[in-house]
Amino acid sequence: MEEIRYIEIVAQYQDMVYRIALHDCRNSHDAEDIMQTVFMKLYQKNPEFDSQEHLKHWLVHVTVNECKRLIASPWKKRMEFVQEKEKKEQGQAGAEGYERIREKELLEQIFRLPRKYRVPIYLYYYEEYSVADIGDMLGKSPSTIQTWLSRARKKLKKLLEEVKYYE
Amino acid sequence: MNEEFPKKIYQKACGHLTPSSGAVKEVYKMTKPKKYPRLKRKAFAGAAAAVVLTCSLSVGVLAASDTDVRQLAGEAAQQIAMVFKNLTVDKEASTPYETVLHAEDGTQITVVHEYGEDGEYYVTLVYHEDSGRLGLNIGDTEIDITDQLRENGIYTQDYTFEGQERRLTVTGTPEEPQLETEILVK
Repeated sequence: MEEIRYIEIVAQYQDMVYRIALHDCRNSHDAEDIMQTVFMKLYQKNPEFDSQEHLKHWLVHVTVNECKRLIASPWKKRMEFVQEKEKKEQGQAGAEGYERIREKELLEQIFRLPRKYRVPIYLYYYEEYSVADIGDMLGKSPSTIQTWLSRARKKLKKLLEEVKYYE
Repeated sequence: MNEEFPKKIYQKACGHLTPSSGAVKEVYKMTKPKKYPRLKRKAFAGAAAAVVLTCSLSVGVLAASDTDVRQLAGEAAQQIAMVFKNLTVDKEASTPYETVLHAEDGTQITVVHEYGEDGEYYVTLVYHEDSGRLGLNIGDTEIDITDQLRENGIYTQDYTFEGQERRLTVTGTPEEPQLETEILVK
């Protein structure tokens, strides 16, 4: 793959790949490892893409597969995202705005959702893919994705009510 | 159905989720190792001490001129664009042989490209403004020829490029040198 093209793709999609991986494994170090693996595969395999969407689908698909591989690995460090973030944020309490605190609280609760819901949530509400596209990328039917999203919303609502998020 | 999900807050929250610069650096370095074009940095007079430019890639927003950088400069300048923000290409000063870039802090960066089909860029001169010294580069080696050129007004040296014996001649002054090369016929 031409280096210029590779650099362009990385610059454009590094965040997306990282975020998908982070939603799945909930650990920034693992997410970065996965990101590196995905782009290494991209560079080495140099697949042909019909369109930009095709490339994006490929990246999502490979990222999800790499997450599965990592989760299945017995050597995976099971460090929770929430704990890791709390350590980093010690001493920063009070320094951030109200909105930022709300954002973090929301993410924390989303990351408490069952694993199978988290990546569809990201793909639907952030990348704004349709349920059909998400199903295609994850190898599931659109109705399954629809059901997952619905259940995720209900569960999230309960979690947010528990922490009094809406008060 | 969707109004129950705090989409806007979630989108803002996700916007803050980014990989570390170290991790991204590793991704950019994943390409096959190549011989990089030589990089010459000339500091403006009065600038701070010279910064050594290595492959210290960092994540940053590529400057608005990065399209120019990519088109004119090749991979080394692309990597420079990742280190320096707001890098602009000096199209007037640039040639097919070297690309001149200006960084936001006033630093001028010159990227020397490949050696040329006939080795015409294998030998180059670099005047270091901060020290007032003239360097003669033969391949990857730089020799300070300032004193010899000032004393004699001329500097010559034989060298080999791709198995061919050649001679270089430098005339003029360290501030305004002229370089000529010729193939030695045996």
